[in-house]
Amino acid sequence: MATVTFSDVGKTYPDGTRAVADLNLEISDGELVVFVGPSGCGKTTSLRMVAGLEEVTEGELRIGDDVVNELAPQERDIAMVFQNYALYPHMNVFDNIAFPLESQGMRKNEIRERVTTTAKLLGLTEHLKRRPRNLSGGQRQRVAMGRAIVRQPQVFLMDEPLSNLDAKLRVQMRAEITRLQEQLGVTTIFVTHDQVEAMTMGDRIVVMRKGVLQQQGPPELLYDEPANLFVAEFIGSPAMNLLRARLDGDAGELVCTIGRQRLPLPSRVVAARNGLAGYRGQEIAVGIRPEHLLDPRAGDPSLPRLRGEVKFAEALPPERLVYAAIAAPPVVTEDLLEIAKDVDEAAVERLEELADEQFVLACARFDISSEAPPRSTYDFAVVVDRLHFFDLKTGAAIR
Amino acid sequence: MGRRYTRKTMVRELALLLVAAVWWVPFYFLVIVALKPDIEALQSPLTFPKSVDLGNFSTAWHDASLGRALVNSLVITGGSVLALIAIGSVCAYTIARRGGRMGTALYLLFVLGIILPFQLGLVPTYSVLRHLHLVGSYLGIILLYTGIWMPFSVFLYTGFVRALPKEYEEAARVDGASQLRTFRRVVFPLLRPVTGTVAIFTGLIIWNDFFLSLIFLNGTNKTPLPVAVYTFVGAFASRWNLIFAAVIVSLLPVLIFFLFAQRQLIRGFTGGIKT
Repeated sequence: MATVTFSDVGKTYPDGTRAVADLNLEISDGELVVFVGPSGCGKTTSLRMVAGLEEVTEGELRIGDDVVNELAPQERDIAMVFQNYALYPHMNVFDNIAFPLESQGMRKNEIRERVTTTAKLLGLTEHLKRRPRNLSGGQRQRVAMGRAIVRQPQVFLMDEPLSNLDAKLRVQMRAEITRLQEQLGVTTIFVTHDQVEAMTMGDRIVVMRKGVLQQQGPPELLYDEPANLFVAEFIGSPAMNLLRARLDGDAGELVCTIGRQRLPLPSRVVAARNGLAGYRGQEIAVGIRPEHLLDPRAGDPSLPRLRGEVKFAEALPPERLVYAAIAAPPVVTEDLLEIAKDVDEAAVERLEELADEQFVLACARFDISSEAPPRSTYDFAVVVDRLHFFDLKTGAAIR
Repeated sequence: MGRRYTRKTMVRELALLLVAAVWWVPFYFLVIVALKPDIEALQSPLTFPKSVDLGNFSTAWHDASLGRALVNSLVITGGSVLALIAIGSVCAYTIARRGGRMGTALYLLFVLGIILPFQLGLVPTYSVLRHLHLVGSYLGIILLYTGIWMPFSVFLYTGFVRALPKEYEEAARVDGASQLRTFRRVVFPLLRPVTGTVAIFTGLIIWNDFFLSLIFLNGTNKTPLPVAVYTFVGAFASRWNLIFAAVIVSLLPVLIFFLFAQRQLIRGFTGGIKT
C-alpha cells in the first residue's frame, strides 16, 4: 500500500489538447478518493496516468516514494478495474483472476490458493469454471474486482466500474466495493461522473472540470461549502437552486433582492461571510439547496419567505419534492452550460432558453408527511443561514 | 417458434434441392469415371459404369505416388499456413496498434502486395530461390507461398485487430504481462475468428495450387497432390479414369477436415468476439 502524489501533473496530447493541467494532490495510504466531473473533465486521463496507460507530459507523479513517470504499467504494482471490465473472454473466471499472478511467475499451488481465497471473498467460488459471457453484470463486476485484488497491489484504480450496472445492482456493488476497500485498506482512486456515487463512496472527493481541479475535500465539505458555481451545481441531487439577485441595504443589514422579493440577511449571515459586504449594490448568484427551501407549515415561523408559483410535486418517500417557479432571472454561466451538456444537448438548449425567461424553476424538499401545496402562489420558508453566494463573473463562492 | 409447412415452403425446398443437385453433377461424373476401366472411360465417359473397377484407385495411388504427394501437400500447406498465421498476426498487430504515418504506410505496402500480380516477379523469384538452393525444397516453396499470401493475411488480421477493444491489452499490461505475453495469451486467442478465415482461405488456395508447385517442385520427390495427379496427363493421351481416381483421393483429406471441423469453421466465420 502506498500514497499517490500528483505534483503539477499535466497532460497535453500531441494535437495540443490539454486534458489535465497543474494537478496537485496527495492521496494518503489506504484512502478512497473519488474523481468526479462531467465528460472530458480529465478524471479518466488522470487515472490512466497513474496506471501508466497515458504518458505524463508535465510534472511528477509518485506512488509511495517512487517517481513513476517513466515506469511501464507492469512496473507500478497497481491494479485497475475498467469501465467495461475488460475480462478476457476466452478465459474462465479462474484464469481471469489468476492471470496477474501468472504474469508475476508465481507457483501454481500458490496461485490456486490465492484465487480460491479471492473467489470466496467475492462469492465467486461456484462460478470459477464459467466464461465471462455466461455471467451476469454483477458477477462480471466481481470478477474484475477479483482480478484487481488477487495480487494485493499498492493502489487500486477504478474507471467508472459501476456505470454498466442497473440502478439496483449499482447501489449494492457500491456498498460492496466500499466494504472491500475498507477491509483491504488499499489506496484507491475511483473515477465516476455520478455525483451520488462520489458522495456515498469517497473519503475524499476531487471535482474536476476541463482538466483543472475545482475543489477537493470530504463529501460534506463539498456539499456544504462549494468553492464555486460549478461544484455547487454538480454536487447534490436535486441540484442547488441558483438565482440571480442583487445585494442592497445599508451598513447594518444587507438585503438580497430576488426579482421583486426582498430577502433580508441577518447580520450573523453577513458576518460569517466577510466578502459579502463588498458586493453591496452588485448582482450576485444566490444558491439554495432544496432542503433549505422549506414547508412554512413545518419549519421555524420566523424564517423569511420566498414566494413561488407551485408547478408540480413528486412524492419520493421519505420526501416530497415540490417544484415552483420563482420570479427571478436564472443564473446561466459557462459552468452550468457545461454541466447541462453532460446530461444532453437538449438540457443545454433548455438552459439557454431559460436565460431569456424571468423565472427559475426551483426545487423544495418537503417531508413526505407534509401535504403537497396547491398549484398556486406559495410562500416557502428559507433557511437564510445556509444560503450560498457566488460571484457572477468568476463563479467563485463569496465567503 | 415452429413455422407451418406450407406449399410455398415445399416449392422453396424443392428449388434449393435442385440447385444443390446441380452442384453434385461434377462430383457424379468424377465418381463414375473414376470407377470405369480404361476403355469404357474413353468410349462412353458419361454413362453409368457397366462394371466397377476399384483398381483405378490403387493404380493411381501407386503410379502417382499419391501417399508421398499427400504428405508433401500436408507439409507444404501446413507449414505455409502456420507461417502466415504466426507472422501475419504479429505484423498486423504492430501495424494496427502503431497507427500514425508509419502504420498507414506499412498497411498500404501490404495492400499493394495484394493488388500486384505475383506472376510479374516469378522469373526473378525463381532465380533468387535457385541461388539460395531452395528450389525443389519444402523450405523454398513454403517461403514462396508465405510471401505471396502474407499481404492477404496481414490485410485480414489488421482489419480485425483495429476493431478489437484496446482495454484487453491495457488490462493485461496493468496485470503485469509483458508485451509478448499480452500478445500470446490475450490478443492472439481473441483473433481466433480471423485466424480461422486466414487458415481456410490460404490453406485451400495453397492445397489446390498447381502452377507454383509445378514450376518450383516438378521432377523432385516434393511434389504435392495437384502435380502428382498431373502424372496421368500425357501429350497424346490422358487416362481420365486414373486422373479422376487421383482427384478423389486428393479431395478426401479436405472433405474429412470439413466434416469434422465444419461447426468450428462456421462459428469462426460468423463469431466475432463474445465478451
